Amino acid sequence: MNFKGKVFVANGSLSRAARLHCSDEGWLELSDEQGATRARFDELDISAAIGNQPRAISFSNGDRFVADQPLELNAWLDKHGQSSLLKSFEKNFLVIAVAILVSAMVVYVSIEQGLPRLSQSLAKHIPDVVAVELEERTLEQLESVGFEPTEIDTETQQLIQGNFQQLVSSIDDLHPSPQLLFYKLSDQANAFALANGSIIVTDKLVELMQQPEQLNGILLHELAHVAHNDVMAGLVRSALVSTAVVLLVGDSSLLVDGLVSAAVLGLSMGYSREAEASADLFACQWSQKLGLSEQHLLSGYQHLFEYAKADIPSWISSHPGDEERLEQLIQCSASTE
Amino acid sequence: MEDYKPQNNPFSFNGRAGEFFGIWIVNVLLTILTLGIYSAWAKVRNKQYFYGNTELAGENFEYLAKPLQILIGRVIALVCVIAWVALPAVSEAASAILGLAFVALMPVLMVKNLRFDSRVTRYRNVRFDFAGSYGEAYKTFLVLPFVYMLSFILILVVVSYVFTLISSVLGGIISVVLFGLGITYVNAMIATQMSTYILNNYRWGKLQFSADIDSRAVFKIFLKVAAMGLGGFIGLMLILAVIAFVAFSTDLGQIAMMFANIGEGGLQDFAAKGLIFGVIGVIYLSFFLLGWFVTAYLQACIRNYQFGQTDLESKLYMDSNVKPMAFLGVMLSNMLLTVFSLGLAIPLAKVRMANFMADATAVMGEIDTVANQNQVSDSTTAISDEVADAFSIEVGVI
Repeated sequence: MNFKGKVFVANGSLSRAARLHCSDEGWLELSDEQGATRARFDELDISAAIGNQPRAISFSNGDRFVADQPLELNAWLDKHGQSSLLKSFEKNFLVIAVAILVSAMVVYVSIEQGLPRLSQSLAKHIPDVVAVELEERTLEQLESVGFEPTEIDTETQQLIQGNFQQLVSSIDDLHPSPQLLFYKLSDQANAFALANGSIIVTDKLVELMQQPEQLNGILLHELAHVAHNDVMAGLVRSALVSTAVVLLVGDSSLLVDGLVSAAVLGLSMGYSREAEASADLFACQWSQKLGLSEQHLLSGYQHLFEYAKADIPSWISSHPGDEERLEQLIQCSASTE
Repeated sequence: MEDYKPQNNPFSFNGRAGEFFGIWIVNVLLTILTLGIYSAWAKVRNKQYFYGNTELAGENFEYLAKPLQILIGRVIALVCVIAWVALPAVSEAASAILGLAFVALMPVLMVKNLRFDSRVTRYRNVRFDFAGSYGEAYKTFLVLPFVYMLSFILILVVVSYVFTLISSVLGGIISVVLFGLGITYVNAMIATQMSTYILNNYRWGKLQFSADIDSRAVFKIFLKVAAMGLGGFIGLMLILAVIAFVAFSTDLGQIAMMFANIGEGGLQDFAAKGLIFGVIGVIYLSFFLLGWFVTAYLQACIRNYQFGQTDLESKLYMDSNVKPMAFLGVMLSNMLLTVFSLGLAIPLAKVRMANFMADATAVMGEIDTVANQNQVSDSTTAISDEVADAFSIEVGVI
């Protein structure tokens, strides 16, 4: 078969008209006004088959042939063993459908399962000095973000500290020995754990409780985060997410900048729902083991939820919905009786 | 006959989103199945698609990098990243040394990167090349920026001090203005040095590119963009202040009610909540938009200017005509497409951007009569060079 086209001669940029004779026996002959060259397929450099791109044929002497009707040459090359499996995959709807499905599944599973597990196991290997340093810095900065010294009277503080120490001493498995700290944060009722195991409770949360014992459930929940090393795992997770996102979209322009920050924020906000659910379970189980009143546990949670009454729908927040959580707690305490 | 007007050869991009989608998703699949190893082949195939579909004066570009070169580069880059992340836990001194070494090596890596990227690009049977020397690179990317910054700071301190002696108010005003103008000018100078170095060292075969970049022109662009950014920022802050003022002065009680309602969380406050979140959302979004606008505007103007100053031995002249607002439009719509398709529209976004960029770019002159000879061949790449080349390509990605 013959193809008309042009040849860029001997590594040069100038072209002249040429003819390519393609033999079914596996060799090609390039001829123009100056003469002819013949070569077998394995001596040629044929540009890759991608989509409908014209395929150029380079000879070892630096000549490069481009057909006037590139699609016809492409078709001839395809028929004579120069096609590419890859190209047929890329045009096959079944392969594409499978590829979409598999990729979506892999992305989903690695975010849902792989990410929390990987961050938990990496967090275990982070040296303690890092946790200590992080916690110190967080404590130093608390005041600058609106935390004020507590206004709870010493008596109540001592009562709660006593309860807390009792909890801590009865739970094995707590690697750093946690401290309980009180702070006032305007009207916000909240409790959270820091990187090295300290737990911070706000004044408003203490006020909400009719009896100090009602706080035990929430303290146990936070101690669960300490026992499970959730704080460091959360930090590792956000580091992983940002690195992965940057690597994935690394070669694109700034159009993804916004997307990147949104994705990083969405995936790294707070602990995962699983971590929250398992902390609730931990609180419930330990309160049973220690023979604490289950009424206190439930009412402590209830007081907090009623006050906070989160406006954020559960799919966006890291905590599972309040009702869901209470129901699970009730189930849990009922189950072992 | 058009004797005076040179022939205008616009770029065109022939890729199609549907076609590229197949290539892209198969790349993703194979990359997943091979635990990332295929990503080097995927990168080559993506590049081949985009280069091969970029047409100028009837001929396509070619991307000639070998996947193995890229794979080696990725492995080495990965080792470096791991060292970078893990070292601080082992020894702070070692990680500091690594950081310094990285800064010190940066110019070399950049040169190798530019060289690799241009050498694997071919047009009309002739490869591009980058001939910049390491010495010049150190001067341009490390020494001069340092000297400029240092002298700027010295001048700023001295001038501010002198004027403060006369009057502290005058000293303050002069310092702020001098700082704003000075920092812009220093950055323009540095940017000019860098683009002069890069553009003038590109080769196509035996022909040299040359670009006459004027720091005053770059300064003008920077000033304009800075003024727009600053103006927009002040404008948004003013609007914010007016909203706050109106809200708090007209009816404090109503606002308080609104907040109280949000706390109660009843059904009827959806409107109030919506209003507040709406206003906050719009303001937040406008700051983002302003940022994107400034970036798009700067990129477009700089590209247009630099291309306009670049020619190939007075035979061919580069031309770029990126319209900032249209560029911003493509950028933003691409982002929305990507987000709302959960990433599946990435191929469409890439094809749209390539189309837009090709349409805004042209070369003036009789391309097909320019006689040129390839100077670079595959066989010249030694193994050590290849490793270095491969390593440096990935530097841009990190």
